[in-house]
Amino acid sequence: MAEVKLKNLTVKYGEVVAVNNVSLTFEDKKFTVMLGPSGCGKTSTLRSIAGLTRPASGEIYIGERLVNDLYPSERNVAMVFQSYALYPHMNVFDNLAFCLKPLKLTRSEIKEKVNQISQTLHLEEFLNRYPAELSSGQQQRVAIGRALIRRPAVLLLDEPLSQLDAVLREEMKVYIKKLQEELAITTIHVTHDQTEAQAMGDRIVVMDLGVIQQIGTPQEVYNNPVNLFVAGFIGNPSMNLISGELSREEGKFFLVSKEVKIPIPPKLGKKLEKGNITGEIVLGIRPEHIFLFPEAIQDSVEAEIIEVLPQNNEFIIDLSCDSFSFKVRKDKEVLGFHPQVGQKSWFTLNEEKTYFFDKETTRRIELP
Amino acid sequence: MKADRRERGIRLILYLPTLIFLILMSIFPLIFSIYISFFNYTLGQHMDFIGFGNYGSVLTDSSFWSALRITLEIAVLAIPIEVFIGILIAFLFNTRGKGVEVCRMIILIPMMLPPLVIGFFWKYMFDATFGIINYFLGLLSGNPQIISWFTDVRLALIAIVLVDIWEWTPFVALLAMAGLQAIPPNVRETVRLEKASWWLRFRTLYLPYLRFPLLVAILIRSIDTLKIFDVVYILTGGGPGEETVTLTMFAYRVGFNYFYTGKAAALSWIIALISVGLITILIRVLSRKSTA
Amino acid sequence: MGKKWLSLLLIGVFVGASLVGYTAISSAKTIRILALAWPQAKVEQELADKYFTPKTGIKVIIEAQPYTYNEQKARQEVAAGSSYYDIYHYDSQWIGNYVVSGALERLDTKDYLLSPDSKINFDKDFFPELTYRSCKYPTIGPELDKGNFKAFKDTPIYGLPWSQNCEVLFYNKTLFKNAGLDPESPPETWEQFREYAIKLTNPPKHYGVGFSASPAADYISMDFFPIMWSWGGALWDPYTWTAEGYVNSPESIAALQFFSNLYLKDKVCPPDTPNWDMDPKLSALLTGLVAMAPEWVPLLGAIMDDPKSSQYVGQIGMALMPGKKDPATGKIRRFHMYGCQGTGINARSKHKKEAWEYLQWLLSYDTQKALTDNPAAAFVSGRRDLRYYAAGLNRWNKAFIDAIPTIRDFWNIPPYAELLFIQNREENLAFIGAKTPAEAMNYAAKLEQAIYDSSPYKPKR
Repeated sequence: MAEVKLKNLTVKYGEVVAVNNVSLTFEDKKFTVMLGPSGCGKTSTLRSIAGLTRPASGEIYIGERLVNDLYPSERNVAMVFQSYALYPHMNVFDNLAFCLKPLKLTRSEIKEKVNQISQTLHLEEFLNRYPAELSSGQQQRVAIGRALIRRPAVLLLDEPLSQLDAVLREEMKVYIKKLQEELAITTIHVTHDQTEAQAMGDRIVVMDLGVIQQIGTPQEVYNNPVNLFVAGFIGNPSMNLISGELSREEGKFFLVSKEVKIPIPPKLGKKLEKGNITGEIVLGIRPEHIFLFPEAIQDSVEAEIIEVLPQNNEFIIDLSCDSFSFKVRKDKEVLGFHPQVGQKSWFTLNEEKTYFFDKETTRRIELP
Repeated sequence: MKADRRERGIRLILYLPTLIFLILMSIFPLIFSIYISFFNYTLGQHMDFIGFGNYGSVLTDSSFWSALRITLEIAVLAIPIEVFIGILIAFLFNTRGKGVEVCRMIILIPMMLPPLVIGFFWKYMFDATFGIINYFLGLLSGNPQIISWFTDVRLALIAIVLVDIWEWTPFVALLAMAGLQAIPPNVRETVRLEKASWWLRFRTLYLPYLRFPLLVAILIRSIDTLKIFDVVYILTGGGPGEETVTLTMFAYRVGFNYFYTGKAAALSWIIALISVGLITILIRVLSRKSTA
Repeated sequence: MGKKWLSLLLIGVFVGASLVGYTAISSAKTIRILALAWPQAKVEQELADKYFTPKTGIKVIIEAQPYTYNEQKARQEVAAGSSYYDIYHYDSQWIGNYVVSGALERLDTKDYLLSPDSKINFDKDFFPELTYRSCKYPTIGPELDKGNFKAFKDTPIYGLPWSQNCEVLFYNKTLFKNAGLDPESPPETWEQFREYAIKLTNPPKHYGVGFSASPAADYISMDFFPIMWSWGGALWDPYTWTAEGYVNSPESIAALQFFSNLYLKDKVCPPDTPNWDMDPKLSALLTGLVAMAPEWVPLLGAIMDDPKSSQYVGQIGMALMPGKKDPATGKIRRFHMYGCQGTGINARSKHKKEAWEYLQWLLSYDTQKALTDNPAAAFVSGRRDLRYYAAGLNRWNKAFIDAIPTIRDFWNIPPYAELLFIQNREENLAFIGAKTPAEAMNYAAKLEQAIYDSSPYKPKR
């Protein structure tokens, strides 16, 4: 088992820079998720580690070894692809046993290893089937089994869940995570699905435009987004962002945008004053951190409900305030009333969970 | 009902030209050639019914057996090498990169040239005194080589096999490339991550994808070789002696030099039966392998 | 609707016009000749257009076909009973097949040569050495070789001499001089020939001798047979159709031994010789790769002094083929390979009269002289009354006329092609040393005898 270290990794396709000077350490035995929109460079990073793509510059270490000039097969990494990439002409047993063949094991040793992994992955009944005769979930398990059977130092997962249906995906998430914990293999998982990232990752690496935006535990990334991109990308529905100017009237703080004027909770206002923050700014607040009331309270703002999306135990409500629209997400029980389209309601911001971002640098402004 | 009938009539009229053409140009000659093979008939002279006499005459003709042996020798020597080099070329050009497309086109040129042209320029290249092949052999060995390729029983056949390999390896390579292209990229990448040896990779992953295109290539090449004519005709003219007279050259001689029309018909049917027999065996053998 | 009628009308007009045109062509007096693609065919067409057609109103269309396709085409026409061609040109060895297929009109009849109006006197006008071999059938045999033409007085005539040819020895005077040989005294005997050849050989630039020794067509046999005949060997007994004891006689085998030794032991032939057909031999003579070779008279004669084709203008000499001393008489016995083509009337022609008129014109003194005069025709005439004129005209005509008395031919009986192939193959195998001459000729005798014996045309005893 080993950690994976990237030093100033740059990957180019012709003139296009896919990964731009990335330095990063994937911790040993940890499950790291690389998250970002498509084209952000996460898959290129993964392929560089595997050795399938040659980086333009930078160094890649697996454990202590510099692996830049090693063949993929010498790096002791295993990869699971979105398309599973099973060997179509071999049955499940042979797919699993393929990488054991060069190891000069006896027949019974191979059989034992295959049986072991197929037990873990519940594949015992399918050993004689060919990939075309398996469901996509079963194929997925074979692909994972094939990657794990030779105990790689690093397991690379390239969007392995994206072709599964929703139920199966939930199952596999848990399953893979559990397996990884049991086997304690350094795992790098690439996805664009943030719920996957939240559920599975020990750590999340958020990437965009070939650059790392933030590294942290799922909670850190969610609670303390370092910039506007991470703030907007993490969370579902995504964070409401309002760009405007800070103003102060009669001791109260407001954010004044073209569309709306929103009062800022006094405690926050104080902090802003303390931090000497003025002028153009972006306010961010997650839909779940907005309080909603059926009637006006102190410092609340009036808004109209324009859409209600009931979920199992919560509502996602679209509100409109003047020409500004935003989302609110609330537990049905916590909300206390049944929202209806066209209904007037009043909202305030959770002052603990309201973020401010620099409009120029997009970085989050740390309040004292 | 009426319109239906009319339509059928029109359809028949539309079929008619093809039908007539087929009957006149294929079906009638085919049947007539069977008929004529039972007669002692020299073109333009009277016909005597002799039953299977022509077939007997072919099967007791030492030239026929020599031609059959030579044709099979060419096939057995040339085709495996064509397949082997064809696979190598396919792997070589199965990468992406600058110039690969151009190289691929260049590789295919021999296949596109008319066999007549190929015959003539190889004849010059193999020339004993001023041919470039002997020149290079001379450079390699350090003293001038005057190897007379087409006047030695063994060398003449080898020269023909070499030209056949040069001419038809690209065809095998083309089919093999198509087979390699069918491998999903991720599958190939997965294999790259495995420690498996080259041979193991080839046998277990690439070969299954190459099996069908190579089967097709071997079949087509076998059929082609059974009727090899033009290049041999120009290179050696069948010589020395008749040591490079192939089946089709022998059939041509019987039919168009001796004008033994009846015997030529019988000979053609014997060649057809041999071809069908060999191809059937080949398909059996090769397809059995691919399911095992 | 209008368009449809218009197109139908156009098609109708087109078909109608074609039919009218076709009948117009076929009703006019036209004769069609299936010719060999020799250079003279083109000149012949020009002369016919210029003189024959204006005089007689008969249009002449000469369709020249390459050698092998000519035979194939003609035999298909004959098999189909076609009257499309009025005149066939044929090579001397084809005549047997043509006659037994009923392809050629007999000419020694009242309609033709025996007619009081005939402008041709077959025996008087032409060399019998030439015409008795290619225009009468069956004629081959010792009596003919002895010059006893009377023995064939009543043999049917099927054609007239179209093109005349034989192989003589061509040699390179410059190379002779370079090798210290007298350029004006070419070898008289085969022993001398071999001696000179050894002196002339300086590989890989120069070799003493070139042969067209390929087993295809009639290449190797036409160069070997003069040697075989001068040794006293023979192909067969033409009266009994016997091969055994003739083609494999000690003389035939010794001749083949001499022939193959030139290549194998003396190494005076270029290494590719056993694969040579006509072209490499011709160009080897013209470029000096070989110093001596038997070659067809007009084929090389017509171009040897043309700077465009020859590197040795004026330096290529011609001589009678070498021979062998006859132990009985002490005279040198030499032979020349015959290569003449005849022209005859299609027995199914619908324009026999016009065809006969054309043949009389073609074989007339004036037309034959015009062909002889035109170097582009590379022509040698079979008319006796032209011999002094032609011999004075150029060297190669003279060489041919000198060779006429010693000309011989091989088979012209129907299964000639198969016999020739066996003969070629065995000679070629002996030439390259794959078989001994005795092995080769014994095997040839066995196979050829089987062919004679199974032929329906073998004379009954």
